[in-house]
Amino acid sequence: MLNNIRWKSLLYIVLVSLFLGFTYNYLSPNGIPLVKEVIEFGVYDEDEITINNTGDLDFTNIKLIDLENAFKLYNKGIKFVDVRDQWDYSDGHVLGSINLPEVEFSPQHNSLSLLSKDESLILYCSSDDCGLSKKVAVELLKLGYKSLFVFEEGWETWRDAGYPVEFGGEF
Amino acid sequence: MKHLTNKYILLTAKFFIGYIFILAGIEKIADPSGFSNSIENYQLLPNLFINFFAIALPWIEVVCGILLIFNKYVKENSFIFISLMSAFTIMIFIAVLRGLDIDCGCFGTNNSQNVGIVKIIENLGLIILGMYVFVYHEKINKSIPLEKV
Repeated sequence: MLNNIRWKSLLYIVLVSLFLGFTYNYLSPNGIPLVKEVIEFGVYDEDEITINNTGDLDFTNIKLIDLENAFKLYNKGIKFVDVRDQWDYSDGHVLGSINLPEVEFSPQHNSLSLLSKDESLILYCSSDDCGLSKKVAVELLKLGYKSLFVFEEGWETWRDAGYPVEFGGEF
Repeated sequence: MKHLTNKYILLTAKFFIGYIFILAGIEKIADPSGFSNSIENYQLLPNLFINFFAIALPWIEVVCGILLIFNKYVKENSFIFISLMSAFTIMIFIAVLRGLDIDCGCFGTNNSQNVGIVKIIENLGLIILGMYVFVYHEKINKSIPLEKV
């Protein structure tokens, strides 16, 4: 059955598509670099909360924190932001956290009105396999939020550690 | 089974899978960086190749979809369709197994739909449709001269 395929034609179809794709990408204002840029985050190593007042787009200003430090900051009253979708959020989230789903993120999102650009925010998603909190942190930094933390281990680790949680929430 | 060799049913199937690919491709072309992030979220490809696929894949989908709708190189394009859909489905399946809660990126980032069993079943349906076009396109074409006799 496969030997009826004209492999040469198939190759041409793919090559023409590649040509169109790369030409369009080169000419388009929305074009992306050929190799994706790697974003390096900073690591939170002290109890001190530093705020980036320079307004630089330096992603090392976003600090990664572990469970222990996340809980310390939680006890200091730092706001948690849950970037999972609303269903996961209502199934359980860090007590007092605000839901800002990554899938519907936009600079006009309602939840952003609850967050101040000058306060510290801790973003989390399901687990360290999930890159959504980092993505939202990058977007928030671009919008001018100055003190951002990413709690990589996320909801599952927090819940398993027995730290304060709540269920339900707005739809 | 007789209906499977009906050329109008086959034509509808070609049109449908072609339409799906054009739609999926255009949505991704409109937001290449969003699609690049979607690929990254699967955590399967090395960073070096992510944007290559983000640039190339949507155009392969669009070209393949257009050719299917215009009934050109159907065997080759339905083969591309089946191959790509199978690869996407395996990626989604791995993401589901790993418990990733991510947007599937199937129709760009505007029509967000998370990875999950529903998406896998949808894709399997499309793969079956692609296989039908792949197999029956030839059978029907071969049978045309006989019908004329």
